[in-house]
Amino acid sequence: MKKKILIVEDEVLIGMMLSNVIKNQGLVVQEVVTTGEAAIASVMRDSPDAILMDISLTGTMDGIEAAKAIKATQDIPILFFTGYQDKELMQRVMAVKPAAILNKFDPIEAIEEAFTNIFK
Amino acid sequence: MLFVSGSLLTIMLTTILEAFYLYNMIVPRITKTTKVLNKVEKGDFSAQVISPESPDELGRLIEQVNGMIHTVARHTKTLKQINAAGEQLTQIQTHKQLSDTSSAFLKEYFKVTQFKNFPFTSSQRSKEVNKQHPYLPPVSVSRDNKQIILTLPSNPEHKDFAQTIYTCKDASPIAETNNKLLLQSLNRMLCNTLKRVDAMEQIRKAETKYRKLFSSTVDGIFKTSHEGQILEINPALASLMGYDSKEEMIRCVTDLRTKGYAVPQDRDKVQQLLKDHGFLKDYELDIKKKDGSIIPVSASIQTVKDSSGEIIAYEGRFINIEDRKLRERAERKHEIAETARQVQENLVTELEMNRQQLQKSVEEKEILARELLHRTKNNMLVIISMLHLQIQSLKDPKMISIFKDTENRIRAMALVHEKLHRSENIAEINLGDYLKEMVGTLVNSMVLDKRVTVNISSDPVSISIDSAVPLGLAVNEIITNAIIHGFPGDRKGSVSITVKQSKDKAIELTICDDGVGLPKNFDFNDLVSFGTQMTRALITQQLQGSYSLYTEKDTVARIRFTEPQRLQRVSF
Repeated sequence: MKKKILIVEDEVLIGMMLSNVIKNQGLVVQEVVTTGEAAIASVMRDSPDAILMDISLTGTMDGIEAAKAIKATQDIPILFFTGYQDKELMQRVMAVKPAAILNKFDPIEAIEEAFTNIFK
Repeated sequence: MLFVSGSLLTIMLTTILEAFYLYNMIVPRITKTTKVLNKVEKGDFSAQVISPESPDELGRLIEQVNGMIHTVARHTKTLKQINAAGEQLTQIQTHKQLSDTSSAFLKEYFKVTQFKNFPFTSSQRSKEVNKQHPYLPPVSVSRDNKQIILTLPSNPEHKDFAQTIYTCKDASPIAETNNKLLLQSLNRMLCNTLKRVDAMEQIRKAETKYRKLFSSTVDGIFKTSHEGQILEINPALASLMGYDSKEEMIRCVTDLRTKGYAVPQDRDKVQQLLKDHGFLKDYELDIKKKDGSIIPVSASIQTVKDSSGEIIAYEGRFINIEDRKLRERAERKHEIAETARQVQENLVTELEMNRQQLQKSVEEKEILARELLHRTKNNMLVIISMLHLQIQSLKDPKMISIFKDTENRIRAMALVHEKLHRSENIAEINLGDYLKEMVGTLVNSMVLDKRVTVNISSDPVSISIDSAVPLGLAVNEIITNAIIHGFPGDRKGSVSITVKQSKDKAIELTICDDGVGLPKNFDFNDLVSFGTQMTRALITQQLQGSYSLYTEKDTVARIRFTEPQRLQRVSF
C-alpha cells in the first residue's frame, strides 16, 4: 500500500512542484491544501501517513498551530517546509515534535531524502 | 425887757447846750460809723464792731449797721472760702487728692470735733449712681445738722466709694445760711472736680495703656513731621532700624528722606500716595538701618492734619518683613526649581516617548524591509518551483540543463535575500556564510554522492545586497562550470574558496579546484557561453572588478573588486 502524503502549502505553484516531487518518489499525494483549517479537515476525512507542512499559511492559523491541532488527535509525522529560520519560530516548531524540518532553499532532493528516512 | 432878754438868753443857752450835746453825742458816733463803713467798703472787717453807746435811735441804727457788717463779713468769708476751695480743687488730679482736700475743707470750715472713715464698696450706692445721676452730691448733712457726710468714689468707674462722717460740736454752724451756701457750692465744685478727675483718670489710663502698647509692641511705631523729622518713635522702631535707643535714633535721623528711606525718592512717592489717599496699608518699603544695610518693611501710615486740613505729620507702623521676604524668596526659588524639575521631567518623558516612537518606527521599517526581502525570496522560490515543474515535462537533456542552471542562478539570488532577511544588519550579509550555504546547496544538487567536497575559508567580510547578488551569480557560474568541466564522470575532488579583504577594502575571492583543469589551448577570451559571458559582465562591469581564470597546479578563478561607495539605502 502506497503511503499517502498531505501537502499544506499556500503558494500553489510550490505546492504543485512538491506534489510532483512526491509523486516521482512513488508516494501518493492525498491532497494539496493552502490553509491550516483545510489541513485539519483533510486529516479528519482521511488520515495521511505524513504531512508536508509549510509554516506561513493563508487563513487565521499558521502551520505550527495546525500541526498542534492535528497532533492533538492523531500522531501523524509532520515535515515542516519553511523559508524561515528564526530562533523563536524554530522553538515553536520543536514543541510540536516534527519528523523533519526542511529548508525551502535546500535542493529538491532533500525532500526525497526526508521521506525516505520516515518510511524506512 | 429883761425877761425877754432872759428868755432869749435861756433859749440861746439851751440851744447852745443842745448843740453841744448833739455834737458830742451824735457826731462822733456817726463819724466812727462812717469810718468803719469806709473800711468795710475797702474789705476790712477787722473793726467792724461799733459800740452803739446809747440805746437811742442812732444806737439802734448802729446796731443794724453792725449786724449788716457782720453778715457781709461772714458772706465775704464764705465767698473767700469758696474761692479758696475752688482754687485748690482746680489743682486736684486724683481721687485721693480730692478726698484729702475735701476732708481738709470740712475740717477747717466746720467745727469738726471728730470724724470716722468708712471705706466700703457700696453696691447700693453704685446702683443709685448708675440709675439716677452719675454724680450725686458728695456732701450731705444729717437730719440733726450735727454730722456732715462725705461720700466720694475711689475710682473713675464709681464702683468703690469711701465715706467719712464728720461730727460737729453743735448744729449751729451747719444750719447757718451762708454755711448752707458753702456746702451747696462745695457740692457743686466737688461734682465738677470729680467729673474732671474721672476724665483725667480715664485719659491717664488710656495713655498708660497706649504707652505700654507703644513701648512694648514689636512693631515700630512713629510720628514724623511733614518735613521729615522724627517727632516720636517707640523703642521697637529704634531697634528695628539698628539703633541702641530711640533717643539715639532721634538724634541721628535728622532727615528721614535720606537717612530713613533706602531710596530717598520713595518718601516722595509715599507722601504723594498719602496726600491722595490719606492712608497707606501694608505698603512694602525698603528702609535704611543705622549700619547702612537695608531691610524690607510693611508700612501702614496715616496723615495727621491741622484744622485747615493741611498735612502736618504722619503716624504709622513698620513691620519687619525680612523673614517673610526670605521665606517668600525661598518658596519662589523652590517653586522655580520644582517647575524646572517638572519641565525637565516632561522633557525626559517626551524624549523617551519620541525615542520609543522612533524605535518603534525603526522596528516597523525593519520589519517591513525584512518582510519585503522575504516576499522577494518567496517569489524566487515560486520561480524555482515553476522551473522545476517544467523540467518534468522536458526530454531534451540540453534544455533540462538550461532550466536547472536557471534554477540554480535564481536560488543563488534568493539566498542573498534569505541571508539579508536573517542578518543583524539588514543592509549587509556575511560573505563567507552566504558562500558556504550557496555553494554547498549548489554542489549537493549537482553531485549526488558527495564526491566533490567544498572548503571555504573567509575573512569576516560584510557585503551589501548590491554586490552580493552579482557576485553570488558569478560564483554560481564559476562553481557550476568547475563541477561540470572539472569533475566529469565519477571524478572525486574538492573545491576551495578563499575570501580575503585587504586594508583598502578590496575583496579578493579565489576559487580553486583540483579537477581536470582547463584545456591546454584554453583562451579565456574565446569563451562565449552564456554563463561565462554573464560571469565576466557581472564582475568587470557591475562590480567594476577583475576576473582571471587559469590552471597551474589547480584551476584557479580569481575575482578582485572593491565595493563602490554608495549612498546608504537602508540603514538601521
